[in-house]
Amino acid sequence: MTRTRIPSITHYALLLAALALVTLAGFGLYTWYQVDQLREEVRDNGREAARQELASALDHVRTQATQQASRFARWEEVRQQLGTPQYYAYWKNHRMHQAAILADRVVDARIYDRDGVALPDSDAIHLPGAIEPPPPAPRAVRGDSEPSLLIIEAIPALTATDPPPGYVGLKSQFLDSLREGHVFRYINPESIRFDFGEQHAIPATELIRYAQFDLRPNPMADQVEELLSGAVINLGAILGVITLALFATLVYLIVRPLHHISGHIDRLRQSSGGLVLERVGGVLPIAETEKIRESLNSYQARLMDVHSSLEEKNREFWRIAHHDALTGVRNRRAFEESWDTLPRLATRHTYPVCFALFDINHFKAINDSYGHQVGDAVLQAVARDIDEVLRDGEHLFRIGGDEFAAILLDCDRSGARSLGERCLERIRHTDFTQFGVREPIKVSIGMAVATDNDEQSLLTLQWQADVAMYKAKRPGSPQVVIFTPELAKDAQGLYSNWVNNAVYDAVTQGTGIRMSYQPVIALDEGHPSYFETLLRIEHQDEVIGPADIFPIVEARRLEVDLDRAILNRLLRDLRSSQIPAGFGISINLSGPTVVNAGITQWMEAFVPFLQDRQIILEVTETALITEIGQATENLQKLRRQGFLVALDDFGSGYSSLRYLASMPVDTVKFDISLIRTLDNPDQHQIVESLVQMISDAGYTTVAEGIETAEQLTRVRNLGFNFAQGYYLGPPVPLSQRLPPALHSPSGRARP
Amino acid sequence: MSGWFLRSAVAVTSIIMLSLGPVAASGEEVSVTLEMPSGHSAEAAYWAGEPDMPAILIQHGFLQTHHFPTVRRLASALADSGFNVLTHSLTLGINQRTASLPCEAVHTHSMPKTREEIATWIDWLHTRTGQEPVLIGHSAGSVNLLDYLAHSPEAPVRHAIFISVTFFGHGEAAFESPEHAARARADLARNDSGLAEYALGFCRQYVTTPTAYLSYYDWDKQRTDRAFQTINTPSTLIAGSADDRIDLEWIETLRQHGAEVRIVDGANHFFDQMHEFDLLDEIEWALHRHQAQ
Repeated sequence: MTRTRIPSITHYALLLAALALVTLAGFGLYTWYQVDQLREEVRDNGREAARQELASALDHVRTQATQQASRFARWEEVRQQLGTPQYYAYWKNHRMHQAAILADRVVDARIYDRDGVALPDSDAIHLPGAIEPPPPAPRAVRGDSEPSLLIIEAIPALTATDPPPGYVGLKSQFLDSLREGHVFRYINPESIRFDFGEQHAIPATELIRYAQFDLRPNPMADQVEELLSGAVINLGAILGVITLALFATLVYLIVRPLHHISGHIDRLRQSSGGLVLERVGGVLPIAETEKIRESLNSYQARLMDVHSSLEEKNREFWRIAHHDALTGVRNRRAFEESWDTLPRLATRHTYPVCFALFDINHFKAINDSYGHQVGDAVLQAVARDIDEVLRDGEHLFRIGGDEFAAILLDCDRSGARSLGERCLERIRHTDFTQFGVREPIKVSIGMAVATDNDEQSLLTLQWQADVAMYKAKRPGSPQVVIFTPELAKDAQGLYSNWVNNAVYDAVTQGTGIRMSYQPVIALDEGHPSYFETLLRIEHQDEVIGPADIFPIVEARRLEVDLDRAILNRLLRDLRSSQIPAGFGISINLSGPTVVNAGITQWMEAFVPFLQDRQIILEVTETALITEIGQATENLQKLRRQGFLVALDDFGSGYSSLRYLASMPVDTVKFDISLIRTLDNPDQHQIVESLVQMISDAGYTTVAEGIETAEQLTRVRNLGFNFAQGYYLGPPVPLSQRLPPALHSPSGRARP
Repeated sequence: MSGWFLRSAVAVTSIIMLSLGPVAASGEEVSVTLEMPSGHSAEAAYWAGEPDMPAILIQHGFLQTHHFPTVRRLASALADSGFNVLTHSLTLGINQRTASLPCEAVHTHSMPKTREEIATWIDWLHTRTGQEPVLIGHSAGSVNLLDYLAHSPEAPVRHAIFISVTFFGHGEAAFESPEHAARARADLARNDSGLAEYALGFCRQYVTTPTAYLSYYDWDKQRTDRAFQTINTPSTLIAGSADDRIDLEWIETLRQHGAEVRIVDGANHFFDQMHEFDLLDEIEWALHRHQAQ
């Protein structure tokens, strides 16, 4: 998704300034246009006013000329000339122009008699010699240098009824009078001129049509125009400057501080803090930006405090999150993080990497026997012992209840073995009696070494260590086991996918379960007393044995489900009489099943079959020790229902007689490891005494793992009641013919 | 002469009829226009007075009209007193002249033409009132009346009053000189009757023909003095003691010719201001005295 680019305040300020300038420019242009229109209007008005002014002046000049002619016509001396024409020439030459009647602009004047004939004179070249009464209207005639007005006026008669006694003709120049006799506001008087075209004379009233002139500069209008133009320019310039100043002020007062603050925030984002925003207002500080700055600095300071506190808390949280509260060593989370970083760390080096798993043997029994406080103390002591053996920089992780792990760099097989031995040695020398634990605390150590630091090798380290641990946990195995490819073969079932699937299907759906029956021989009679039901799982012609089944079941905590599936299968076989009547059987129950509250209800279905056979429930001492209270209660209920209880694999674990005394069991089955010790003369006496003591306590005894006639002889001699083993009969399915089992009398079972 | 007179009489009669029309009311001024023997029309103001009161003709001074203030005030005052008063303007060669003729104008008039016009008006007044009028002249107008009386010994004139009487020819208040007269006479001798520039009376420049010029110029002090000696009409001379345009001493000498001389103390040539009434008193006194006679 593309991120929308948000304009900065500078862009908005620029846009605002641009808009203001454009508006100003538009307003200025519009105002300029208006001023120009006004200028044109003033010019047109001036031109029209000038034309009217000139028309008025021409009218005045024409009126003056007419009045002049009228005065002249009324002059009594003119009438005198009509009576004495013989003196007219003299009068005209000597008197006419000197009498102040005619103005200087009168170029010539002439007197005509009543018939329009000019009185005789000498050189009246400007006026016609005769006129045609009535006299024409005043005319303007073309002149050499300027036009003249030609006016013919009738001399008034003495009575209104009489015709005019004569006429006067005046020809006068009017241009100077026009120019000098009027005050022209609009016209430059010197520019007044007339162009008659081809005409010689025109009516005086039409002079304005032939007039040409130039307008007088109108200082007022020009000044107003100049003022207006100047005002528009000045206003535009001032507003433009103000706009730019506002823009600059905006930039200086707001944009710059905001940029400063924004840059400071960016630097804060990229820094680890400690930056203080200096004053951003320059010489013109603004309260708002100053407030922002102070708030930002205050907020930043508080943020730093919070950050420091958070860091402190984080460190504490990290420590809490990555350390085991009980033992103080690192926890599973820390382990996983370290494990995740291991490939990256290891690939940078060429040294071998070792992974070690530590598991306290029978810790649950310790916990239950001595209480959690003791168990916790044992855990703390073991963790401390191992951690002290580790080198600097190596950490011990508690990854489970009693499981610890360590990642050891630059550690080869010998180093790993040496470390494991040192750990065992250290634990061996630890006095656990201080916690009240009388039994020795043993730790199984499974280790794996990756000589190739590629990622694949490292990833398989845990699996290899698990395999090694599995091996170390096996009875008779050394406590420190380093993974070898051979161990992988033994543990194949545990981790084979198809085995997993088959086991899971058997547990959840009951498919593939095939029970085998191994006879338990009554030694005093030599016949099978009953048959121990042993689980096999068939899957596509493959048979999966207990060695592969139980690690998976235990790893997945499927013990109860598996036991219920087996019980269902046995119940079905019993009901279907596939297990013949009188055919006693023993059923192995896991620890979780024994302590399960529903066990008595589940087993009620078997009660009817107790009528003609004995059903023995085999439990391991480990299972009993885990929750001995609940286990004891359940077993007592089962015994009251008629079931017998056998303690299985005695001698492979704690083999504590204290536990045995407190457990509601009827039979003790000696583990094969104890039976094998009979081959050693030094240990024979111990087993013999133990058998004797248990028998004396009222328990029946079973010797497991009889594989040879010698072993059978020995256990018979030792007083065992029953024996079991391949020598006496391997586990076989019901499809094979089984030897008949002896019916045990009711009451306390004696297999 | 008789033809001219008949033609004039016809003209006078017709003009009277035309001009007066209905009879003017007593004391009311009417304008009278008469055609002069020269063919020009002349104007006058006429106040019809009481029937038994004398008729008076007042003649204006040189180149003036009957609108001249001294004349006008006098006529009006006499009309108010019940006299039949006529004051006219000489045409001076201009039809219906209404304005004084400037010295610089072409002067085609002459003393004889003026005399004819005065005679015409006297005849008109005589005819109009049926009385022999009293003539009153002012300044050079007195000379015109004197010229008329000198040439018309039978004129129907009862009495003549000459106010501020003066004379032409060389004198103290005149610009003409014997040289002007000599030049005019020379022109005439050469038969040159054209216009020429002279000086006459108060005119330093006076354009006229030699004949016309001399018709005035010849009415000098001696001729005027002789005229007073020869006229039959009772005469009264009124002069201001402060008049610098007249020869007051000469006027005083006229007593010896039978003329009655009245000197108004302090009055000037025009009897301006307060002397206007003095003049009127003197005239009325003279009229009543002669009326009583």
